[in-house]
Amino acid sequence: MSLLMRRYGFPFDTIRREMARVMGEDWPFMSWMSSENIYPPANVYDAPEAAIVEFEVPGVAMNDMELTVTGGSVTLKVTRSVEGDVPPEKYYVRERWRGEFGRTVTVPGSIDSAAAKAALKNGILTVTIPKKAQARPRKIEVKVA
Amino acid sequence: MSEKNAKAGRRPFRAPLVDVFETADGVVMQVELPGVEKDAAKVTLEGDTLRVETSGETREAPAGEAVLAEFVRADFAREFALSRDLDREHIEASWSSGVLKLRIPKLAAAGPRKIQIRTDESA
Repeated sequence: MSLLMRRYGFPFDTIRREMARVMGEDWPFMSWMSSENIYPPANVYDAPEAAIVEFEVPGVAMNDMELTVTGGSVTLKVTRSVEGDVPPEKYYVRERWRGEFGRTVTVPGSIDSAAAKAALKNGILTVTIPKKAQARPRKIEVKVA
Repeated sequence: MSEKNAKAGRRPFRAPLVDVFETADGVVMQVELPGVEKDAAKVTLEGDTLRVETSGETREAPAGEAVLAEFVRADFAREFALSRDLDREHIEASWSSGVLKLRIPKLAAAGPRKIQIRTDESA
């Protein structure tokens, strides 16, 4: 199901949206934009001064992550080891991602990768990459000829 | 979000990812609540239902146009049915880097009890 979602996102999104709409009549709306299929889930924002990338990585330590920023993309490698020594048959529910994951997101705009900064707070990794100086919106003074 | 929920002022919830497993002396639940401050998470128990929810989701989205949006800024909520052999009085909750961990011990085994037979004098 997850492979199909990635390739044919559109029709499945519609079905889930309909399901949520129906389910929403009786109990709290469960957002259909859940992070089930892609790990780690990412948001990318394009602001005039910088590009901001956020990854949801709860329960992951700084040492278990490797972040690379290039001229047009951000790559995050994560090794997730949740509490070990629990045999699979002891689980009632087992939803958290575990293992090694790598993900690359494209970042818009002309970014200055050397000036990128990253911060981890409450399980969210936020990467802020300033835009190159000449790419930022500039005011052009109009002179009277 | 349905019109009915929007009118009622209900905001969309996200269901957090969880792991629930059994240990020698009870059950452990790990609930992922990324981006949530510890104080914003609330655990309540009503009857057999354990509810984990966060409130006051006030994180502002960063400035700029969202080019990719795979997770929403919304409160989390999820309910669980606790089995009868768990000790509700001694639930422990701890929090670390966006993960809420609950430990629920099993009730001490009641064991077979002897029931004494009294003689009913009035018979």
